[in-house]
Amino acid sequence: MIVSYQWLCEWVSPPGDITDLCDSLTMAGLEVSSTDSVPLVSDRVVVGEVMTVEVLPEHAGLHLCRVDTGHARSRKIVCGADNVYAGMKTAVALPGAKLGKAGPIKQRSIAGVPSSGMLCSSQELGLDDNSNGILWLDDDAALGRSLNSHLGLGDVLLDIELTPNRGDCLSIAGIAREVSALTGVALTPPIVPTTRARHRQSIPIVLENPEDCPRWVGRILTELNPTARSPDFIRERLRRCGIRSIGLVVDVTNYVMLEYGQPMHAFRLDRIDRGIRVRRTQPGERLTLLDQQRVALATGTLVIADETEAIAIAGVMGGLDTAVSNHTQQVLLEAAYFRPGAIAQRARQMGLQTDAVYRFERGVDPQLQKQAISRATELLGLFADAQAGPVCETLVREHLPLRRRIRLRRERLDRILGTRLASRLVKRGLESLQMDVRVNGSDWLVRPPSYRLDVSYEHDLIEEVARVNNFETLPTHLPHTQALRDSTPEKNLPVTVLEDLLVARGYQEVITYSFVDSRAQKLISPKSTPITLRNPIAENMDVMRTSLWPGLLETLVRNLRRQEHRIRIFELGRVFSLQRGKSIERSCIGGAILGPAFANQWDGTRPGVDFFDVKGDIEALLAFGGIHHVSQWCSARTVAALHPGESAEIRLHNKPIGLAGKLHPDLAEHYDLDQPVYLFELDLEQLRTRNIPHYESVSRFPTLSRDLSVVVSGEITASQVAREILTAGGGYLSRIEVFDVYKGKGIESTQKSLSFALTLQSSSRNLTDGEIDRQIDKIVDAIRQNLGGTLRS
Amino acid sequence: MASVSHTDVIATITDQAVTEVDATQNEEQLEAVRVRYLGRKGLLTAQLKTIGDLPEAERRDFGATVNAAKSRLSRQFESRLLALQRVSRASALTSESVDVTLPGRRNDRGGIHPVTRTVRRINEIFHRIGFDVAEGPEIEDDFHNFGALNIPIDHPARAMHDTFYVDDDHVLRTHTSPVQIRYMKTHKPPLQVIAPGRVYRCDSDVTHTPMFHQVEGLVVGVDVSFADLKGVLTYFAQEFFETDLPLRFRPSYFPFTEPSAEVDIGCIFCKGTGCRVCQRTGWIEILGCGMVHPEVFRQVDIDNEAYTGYAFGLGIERVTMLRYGVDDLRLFFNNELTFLSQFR
Repeated sequence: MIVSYQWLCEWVSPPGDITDLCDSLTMAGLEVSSTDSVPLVSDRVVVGEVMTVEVLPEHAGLHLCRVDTGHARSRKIVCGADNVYAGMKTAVALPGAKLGKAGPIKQRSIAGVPSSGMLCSSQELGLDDNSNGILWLDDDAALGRSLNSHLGLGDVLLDIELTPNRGDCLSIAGIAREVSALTGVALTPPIVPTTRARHRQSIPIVLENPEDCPRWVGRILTELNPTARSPDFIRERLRRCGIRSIGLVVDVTNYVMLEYGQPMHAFRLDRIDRGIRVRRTQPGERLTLLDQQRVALATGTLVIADETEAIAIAGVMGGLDTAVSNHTQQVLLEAAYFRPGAIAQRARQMGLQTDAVYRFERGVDPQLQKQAISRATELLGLFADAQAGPVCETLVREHLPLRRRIRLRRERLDRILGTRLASRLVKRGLESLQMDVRVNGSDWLVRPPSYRLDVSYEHDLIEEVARVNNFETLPTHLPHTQALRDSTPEKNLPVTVLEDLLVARGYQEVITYSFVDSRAQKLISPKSTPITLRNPIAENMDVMRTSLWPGLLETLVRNLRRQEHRIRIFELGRVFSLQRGKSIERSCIGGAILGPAFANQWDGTRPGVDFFDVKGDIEALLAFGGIHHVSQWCSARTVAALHPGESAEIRLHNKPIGLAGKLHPDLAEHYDLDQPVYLFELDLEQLRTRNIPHYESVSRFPTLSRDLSVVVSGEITASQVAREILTAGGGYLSRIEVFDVYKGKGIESTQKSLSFALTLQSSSRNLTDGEIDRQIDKIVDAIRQNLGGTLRS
Repeated sequence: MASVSHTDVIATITDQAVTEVDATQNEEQLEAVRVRYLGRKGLLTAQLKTIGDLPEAERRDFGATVNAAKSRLSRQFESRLLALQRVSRASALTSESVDVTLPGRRNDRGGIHPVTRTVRRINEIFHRIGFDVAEGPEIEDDFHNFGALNIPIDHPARAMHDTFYVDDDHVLRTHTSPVQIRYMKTHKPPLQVIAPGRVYRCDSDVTHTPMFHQVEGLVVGVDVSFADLKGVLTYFAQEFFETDLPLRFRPSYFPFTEPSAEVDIGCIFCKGTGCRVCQRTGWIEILGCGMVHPEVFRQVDIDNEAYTGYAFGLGIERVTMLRYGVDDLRLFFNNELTFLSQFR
């Protein structure tokens, strides 16, 4: 909210300078996010009156004006604006005045006529972005007075970021109350005289839904002067608060709202059929709003209606038909209290965010309505000679927000704040906020003022006490540690270990958005059902990812464009899917690699990455949890994103825990990747338990090694052969490693040779060569019988 | 005098051998000399074979003479061998050399993301003072993200959240605060926990990304006070920035805490004198916090008279930017290696 410092000073005179004021507001929770000054104009711009206007016959649009600027001699000024008229007060830039970046105004000849000065528009003065003609000032503006002083330019505007609970501060009055409470300076609000009724015209007001609108105050004003215009101070203050001046009546309602925080509305009286009815809409009701849009009103919307139809959406916006214009001579003013919840939802549904909604949904003082009506009546009386009728009010008291006394317990206050504030500080603090405080034993009984709708419970009072005494004065207790139990069991493998392993193997961690392009996702995992966002921020971020791969591939592409040529990246994060209508989140670790298998080296080039690079990295991850040797790698030919011949499903106890392989050529083309990319993704939870080691005694007997080469059919896998070796090899086989795979000369084209290095050892004795030879024979037999393989000769 | 001549022959052979040994230039030559004199068919060995031709009485002396000559020669070989080896090693040392300035055989190291780096540091700092770490779902129901945190449907605070909706009842969590609720429902006080994670808001410009990270903190106990909250955050900020910077607690508003505060740290760049980063205020806002609202305790069935607590929420990217001088939030999610590799 923008607050004019000059205006605020009419209500309270804060001690110290503006910086002090901003500091104390900020430290009381009313954060002044910035200050801005209203620029001054040249002191040589003064108030002047146009005495005569003479059209320059040979120069279309130019007028020669005689202007009185309070000096003995009037001056002649040529002016091109068409709103100039004799008797008009306007801003006169005297010779020497500088406007904006232009050079100083000079006495010069225009169209052959000497002109000593310039009549200025608000745009030329830098007061506005655009303007129609020259500035039109109050008729009673003092001649010769500098415009700076007439308009109060040089004011400072405070931009205060109010938290949603402080609806009571959405006005000059509200901010002034805070300043008074914080500084101890008394409030000096303007004295608003009661305007006595000059006529008896009143209007019946029926509140059909008092739970949403318990109070509605109206007043009929007649005989408004149709030529009256808003005085300069009102227009200028509205401008500073970002509100456009529309016409006197509307300006006054806005002014009162800014001043007191009560949104008001003015209806054209002659368009109201008999009386006011605050009610909910019936199905099918429509209303054309002030902004010309015709809206269908959702059934149940709270509206202001006359006896025929809705004329305004309560607390949101008025209707066009009853809108006042500059010629309206009879108006009905409205000041009402609406329950915050009754306004917010409707306004949001309709997408209408007005200043009124902003205030009503944060809570307007339920006791403020008559005061606001009085102030508006006073101003319209002053500036439009309005004749006021009696104040009409309908009130259903039991629906006004309850203002009961709240007990503040000494013990609770001390416990929450961690200190014992002196009783006098507590009482004085609350009283400075206009709370009614009664001491009750060691406790206090407190009744907050009507506008503090946010203070309803004891903890609200505790906050207020802390706030007015300044959080900075409260003590700070540095932590004393409490021993943590069971938080890090040894069997839980910290994720950091897995991350660091990949980092050591050359991977850079990335963090990509959890929402991805549904089209890319469809290509990568066509079978999954993604969770769709209702309001995505961009078209290509419309679904929650079901795999880490879309983000990783995007990242690869982006970095290739940045001329990276060897990329290894990984991400650790959730993937999301919909299963039986429920969202399922799974933490995964995934990676993508591309480019040379090793960093460039001076002693030779390195081959590009292949399947076994990525497999080696995965095996290293699995090894941490001790599940490397119990996991199985199975050829997976149906993963859409992967090359059917180079893809694997990784299983643990026959349950899939991840995928790895080469990016499918179709997708590589889609992403415009012209070199092989290998991808993996593993279920993180499966990697996060590790074995707790248990010592076994080490054999003291020597190990024996044997190499075994077998020839098998091409489709037999290494793990099938290894399984046979393990089964037939007996208990002495302590290690088995593949050390060669051969196809080619000497082997039939449909076959391949696999060579294994076997290590045998007994824990209790020396093994003999004979024993081992017999064991090898058994192995070869098993391979022959079960796999049709033969010993390679 | 045959014996004398035999002895002379041996002396001559030995002298000759010694000369040849000393003349050798490498181990091969030396070995050839050794074979010529001491080999099975060697000259000296051959002399020993003549012993049978000698009279019985001379044999003993002759044998001794030959053996003495053999051992003399052997010693000579040994020392020559050592000398030659020394020479050849010395020459190898001068000829065999590597350019030590060539780069080592590398396997380039990767790195963790700066956000992860900060999360790790935060976890570590809070772990030191006894905080557990918890997680929660990123797709949250309305109750956990809003309702249980005292943010009803009509509350203006909802408008501050720019929520991504999945369906009528589910959102992408807008903060990590719902983890508080879940943790309190499953753990009994006293408890101390932090919950780092991704959060989402439908907002994207120079200073906002639709996804970012927060860390939530929650402490509940019998006598947990605002003073403890101030203390723990002071400890955290000073540990994190590794300097005794001042903290400023300003009253604020969050529906789920009361009293609520926003916390500023003294600007780490200008030390409070005012600069561009702190917008000349000397202070930089880093987090929001407060005492757990009694209504929140009620929602999770914790006796709000018996227990009190505090909670805080910190933007991870924000403190990462401050810590490492990153001036554009969006860099974190562009994932360009030129950026990320600076945090290795």
